[in-house]
Amino acid sequence: MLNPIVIERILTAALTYGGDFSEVYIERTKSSSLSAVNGIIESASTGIELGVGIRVLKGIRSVYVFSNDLSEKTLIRLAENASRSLSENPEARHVSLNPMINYHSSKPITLPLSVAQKTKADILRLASSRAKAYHEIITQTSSSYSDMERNILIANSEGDHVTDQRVRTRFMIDAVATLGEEKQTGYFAPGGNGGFEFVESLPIETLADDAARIAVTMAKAGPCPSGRFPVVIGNGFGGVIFHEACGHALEASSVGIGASVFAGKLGMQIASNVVTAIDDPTMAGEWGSFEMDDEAVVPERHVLIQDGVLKGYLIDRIGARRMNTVPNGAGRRQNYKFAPTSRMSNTFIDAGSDTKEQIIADTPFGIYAANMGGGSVDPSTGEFNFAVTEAYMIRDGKLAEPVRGATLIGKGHEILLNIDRVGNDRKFSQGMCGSYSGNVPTNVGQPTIRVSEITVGGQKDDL
Amino acid sequence: MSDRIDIPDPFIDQLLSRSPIAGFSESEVYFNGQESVQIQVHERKIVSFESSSTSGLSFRGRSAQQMGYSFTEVFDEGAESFLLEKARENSDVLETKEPETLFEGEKEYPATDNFSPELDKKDFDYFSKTALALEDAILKYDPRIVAVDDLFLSYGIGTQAIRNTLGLNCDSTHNILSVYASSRCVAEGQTKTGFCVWIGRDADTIDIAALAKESAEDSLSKLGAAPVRSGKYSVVLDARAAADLLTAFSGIFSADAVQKGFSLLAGKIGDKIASECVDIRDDGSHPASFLSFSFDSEGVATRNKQLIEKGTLLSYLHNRKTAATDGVASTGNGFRSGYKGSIDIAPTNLYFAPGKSSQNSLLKEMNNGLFIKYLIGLHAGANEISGDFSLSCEGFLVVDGRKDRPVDQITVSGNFFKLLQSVVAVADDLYFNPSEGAGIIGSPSLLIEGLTISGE
Repeated sequence: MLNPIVIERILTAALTYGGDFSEVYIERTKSSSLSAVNGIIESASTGIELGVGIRVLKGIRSVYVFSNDLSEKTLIRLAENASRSLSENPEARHVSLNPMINYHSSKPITLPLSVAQKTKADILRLASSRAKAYHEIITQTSSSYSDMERNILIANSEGDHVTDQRVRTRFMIDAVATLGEEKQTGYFAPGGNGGFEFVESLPIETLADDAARIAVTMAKAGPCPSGRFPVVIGNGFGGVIFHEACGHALEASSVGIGASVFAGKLGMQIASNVVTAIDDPTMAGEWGSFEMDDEAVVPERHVLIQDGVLKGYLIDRIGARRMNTVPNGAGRRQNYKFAPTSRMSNTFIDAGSDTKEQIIADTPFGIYAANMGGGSVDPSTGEFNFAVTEAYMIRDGKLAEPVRGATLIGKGHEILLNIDRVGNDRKFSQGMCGSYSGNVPTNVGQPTIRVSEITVGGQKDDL
Repeated sequence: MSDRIDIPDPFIDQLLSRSPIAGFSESEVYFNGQESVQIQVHERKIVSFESSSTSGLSFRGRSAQQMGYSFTEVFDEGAESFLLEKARENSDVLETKEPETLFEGEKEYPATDNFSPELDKKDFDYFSKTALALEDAILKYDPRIVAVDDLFLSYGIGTQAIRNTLGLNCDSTHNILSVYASSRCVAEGQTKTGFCVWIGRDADTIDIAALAKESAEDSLSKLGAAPVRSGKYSVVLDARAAADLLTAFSGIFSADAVQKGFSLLAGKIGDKIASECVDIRDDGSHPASFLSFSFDSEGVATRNKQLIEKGTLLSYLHNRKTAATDGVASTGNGFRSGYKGSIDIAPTNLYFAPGKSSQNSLLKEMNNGLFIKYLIGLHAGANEISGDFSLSCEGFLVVDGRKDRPVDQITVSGNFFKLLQSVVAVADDLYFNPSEGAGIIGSPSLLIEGLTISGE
């Protein structure tokens, strides 16, 4: 994308007036998207993005400049300006790059931009018609497809000179069921780290059926009761509870400034001893995986919690400087418009030994949260919330009637101690996590778990 | 502190002039350029400085009746053929029954005042001093304030331009300054966070002491918070929380959602859908908002519209396509979310019209109930299609018309369509939420009867 001599000049210019680390991130991305409403293709778009971000660090201070203009003149000017705002005790030095290393975080078989839009449109039509046909009360469907091919180059004043290819494809189906004045939805959005073969391999009919089934079930469901109950949380997207309740508070962006409820607690029991939690960017081909992070650091598997004891944090370069340690490959960003910071990748509660059936059978009364929507958290207080999109009452150890409109709230550090059962059915679900450095693809995951007591917000006042 | 954003007119002119050869009967370019600086302060240092200059454009062209889209951040020969080829491929897969059409432009557009040359002259030193002074004032406000974890000051300029082969030629430029500062306090083992936000164009009106007080008091006032018992409560929803709730459900007014069956407002024009005191409007400009709109992303002039008057639904928000389907005129709400987006529908300044009472008189009228200051998790806990919401919230217990003690770890749930019918009183404190583009939403505080609270 830029020749090494020009990059060396930029990195050197970025240290002219001050700074102890300089970095160039160049990105070229092609992407396409289509959407269909009620089976009719309503929009389709294809585009190119191209930009560069230059970062200079001095201790824990950082300067980040970004632009679409890749001319050498502009980049040298931006680099010098970045350096100027850190101009204390300049220690200018010449940067020379190591031989280039090419990573392949994605290993696509069929590049998605090489596939005709017509082929993608056919998948959306199939999904829509299948969901519509599921039940007479399915009144609307929407489906969409998106892909991207991104090539990045990162070089820094430590000599790192690397490229990477990231390719992702995603399919979404949303079904709406109408019963009188009541409308409810069901939704799935699986994503793949790879080429078009991922979408081709998806069981589109099953996903459409499942989305429609949830919509129909929820349209017929009564409101969820409110109060504090035991809640059994289903595998897969249920992992959003760990993501919100704990994961964000283990990121160096909040731990490093002492703002996290988990700061200073390494080696301490922060969860019940049935909980082992991991963030693993090295898993081959997973949605949140990468061979190098967005700061050219080769990532490690991060054991966050082992048998309830806090073992580690997610650390980017600046976080490492604040915490007096080394980065462990958690530096991520949406694109060149964001400076990187510590983020999750594939984050999950590890499998235990119980079956889902045993856990439900051992719960005399409570709620089974089968599918989740998103949520959010304040890492300083640990207060989190997340929405349940498919839920059932548990009565006498058996799944009973469906209930709709539930939200779970609590404090992460308290919930972790209240997890009392962990199943053996670990699964991942794909999401886009939004934080300081934009939206990045992350997997949430867990087996079926039970929380002994949590606040459930529903519309029904009594049981 | 910034050069003007260059619109790449030679590239645009050549692209439009070559589009007929590529098979387009009409075509259009939407350009968007942005420059920004952002300062982050932590522990009395500028820990992060960001500066950017980016731009991109969208091409859309009509071929065999359908409008295909493509976009680029590169303006060269290669990009030109990419745009034409991809837009053509995309138009070929579309099946819309009422396809998009282009617009030749209005004779006149309402004037807007979205650019302050004085603000544009402010320099790095000014911004740094303001940001450092604000952190200092928050930290010194009270010994229980232990940290300001997030303090950002951002200045941005945005330019948009629309050109098409029918002669449409619209430009606009705005600048805006925003300041956000959190605060974290600790007392008796409890940690609470709060924040303040300022957005505007007249930097000289930034009152550091007042902002510091807002952020610090926001967190300090939460100390000692505890849940309340589950049950039905009357609620005064603070203006900002009410604006957040209206934001989550603003899509119900989109004619596109109505026509496709995604809005429960379908078929309800002329019906009484809300209580007598509910007026909802969408105005291209409003003195309490910080951004006004002269035209939408299709070049249609914005207008002032009454969507709900005294509880009766009068209109939806339209773009040219949905207006053609319904046989009405576009309301000037055909907006894109940027050059990567296609024409959709968004409000300009959408708001609950204010009443005449103060927030305090609403609390007195309620007498006993809850004052909800924040609704949390709206992106997940509110279902725009069903109207159901179940949200984490924070506020105060209200006893005998006064805020008694802070409340946290509770949820409020209900249904937005039912809530519209349960609004009993509307205060005079209209507040517009900060937003980066079209879709600025505002509300005054509202008194609402009978919301379900889940707590102890």
